[in-house]
Amino acid sequence: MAKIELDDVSLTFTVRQQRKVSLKEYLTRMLFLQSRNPKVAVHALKNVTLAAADGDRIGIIGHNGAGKSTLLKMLAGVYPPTRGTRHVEGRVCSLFDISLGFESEANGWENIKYRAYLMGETPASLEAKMQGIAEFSELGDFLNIPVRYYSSGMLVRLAFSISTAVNPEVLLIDEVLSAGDMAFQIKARNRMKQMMATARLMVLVTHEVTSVEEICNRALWMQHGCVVMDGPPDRVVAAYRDSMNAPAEAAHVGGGLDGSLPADGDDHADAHRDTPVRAVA
Amino acid sequence: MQSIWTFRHFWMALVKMDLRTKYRRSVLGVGWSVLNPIMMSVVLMLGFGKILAPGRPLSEYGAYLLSGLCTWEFMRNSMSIGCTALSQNEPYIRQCPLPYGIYPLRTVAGTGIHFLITLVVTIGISCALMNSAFPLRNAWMLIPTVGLLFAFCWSLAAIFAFANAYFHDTQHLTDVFMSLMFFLTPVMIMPQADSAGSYLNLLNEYNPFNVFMKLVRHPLFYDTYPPAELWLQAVGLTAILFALACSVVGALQKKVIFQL
Repeated sequence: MAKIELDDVSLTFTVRQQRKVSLKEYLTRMLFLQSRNPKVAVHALKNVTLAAADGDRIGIIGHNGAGKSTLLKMLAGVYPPTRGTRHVEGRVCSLFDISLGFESEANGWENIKYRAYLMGETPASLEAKMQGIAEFSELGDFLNIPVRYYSSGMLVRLAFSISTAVNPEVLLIDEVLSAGDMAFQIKARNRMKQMMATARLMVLVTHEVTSVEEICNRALWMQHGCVVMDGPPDRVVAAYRDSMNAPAEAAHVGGGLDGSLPADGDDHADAHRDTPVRAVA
Repeated sequence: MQSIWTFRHFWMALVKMDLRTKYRRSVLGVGWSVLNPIMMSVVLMLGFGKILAPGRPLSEYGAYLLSGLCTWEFMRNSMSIGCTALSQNEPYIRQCPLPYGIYPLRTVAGTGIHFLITLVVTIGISCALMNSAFPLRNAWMLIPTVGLLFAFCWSLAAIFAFANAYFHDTQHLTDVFMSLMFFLTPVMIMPQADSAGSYLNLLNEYNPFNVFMKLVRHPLFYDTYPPAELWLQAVGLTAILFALACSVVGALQKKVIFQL
């Protein structure tokens, strides 16, 4: 049984306005000086409530900086919520930043092992999959050389082949449908469809709204870190498209650091929190 | 602990790769890394032997230096390289929520295996320098020491990894601190019988690094079993530091991602 439950979840990043503080600077400032590098709170997610279970295929749409990827990373357990509760059941497989995390000095075969072990595979379970991963990547003899000699396309091929070789219960995908060249993309799409069919629960973040309509049975529209609308894909996508025809709103959404607020600006945060109207179909 | 064991294949594979990469970079492979403390001992022995160990044979001072340097290097590297344990593994941290204790473990397992290789060579060379087989005969006494030292170094690496995530100059400050401690810890300075009660001896008495130096030197240099008091100090020190490291990891592992 796969399950996702987010209860009134918020995520606030506290960052320095200029750069990170060194220990020397911290001690000196604490003793003698006032801060010239104040903290800034970035409200990435605000009051998100979400419940999903077996059979749900959720597509998340929204403008850049709306909090889609952050929400996915929170579901994966990478970011803990700063408020509210997160509960996820089932074996999670996350496909985001898939070309990250390669050991440049190791060859393709070794990187297959590292990444597969990272996803919870064991030497015994990986042995059966190793050849399949190598064949799917179509990298042939390149697997014998260190990955620092790979092109970015080759890295994505390898990463995609490894990441999709597992059978997850909860599948979290962030914009990885455009992996590699044209021929590989067709293979990748077929593999993704296969994974989506076998996974019990899927959450997909994408800007391709047609994919959401085709693949998903539920859609979430996010804006300023809030869920604006949650419902059937056709209705949510239509509402999202309509919003893009409103130039003033679109310009506002795309501008600068979305949700960036001063640390002492809690009244601003409350104002934002009240703005979204959740329309549940 | 259970999740660290569950993901053992992951961090063990990375440790293997780290060691292979490290040794592959030089023509002599493992030999080069082992040669480093040996060469350092030879230089210090020839340069300072007469001043720092007056009245003692140079070969004896060489054995003293070797046992000290290999232990010191393990502790120093675990702290210094441990500072980068989280930043170096950031791509993994951002992909998968593994227990954070794994990353300092990767560092310390690498430096620890290197320490074991150097220790074996130290035992062999000490036998030759002391013209006796007692370092080899006493090698079994080092088994609990190695275990304690490993836990001590993991704790140091974990604490400093988290500190470095919050304050990026921690590694630099650690390196400066350890350069200073090198001269305040009897790595190359031999304690003299007539200097009891001096500030240097008092400092050594309360120096946590010296506890492990003594544990290594008792069987390898003095041909004695480490006294119970020394074992107690080492166990107590490791237990305190380990508890502190576990508290740091437990308290900050849900917050540190925002600092990376």
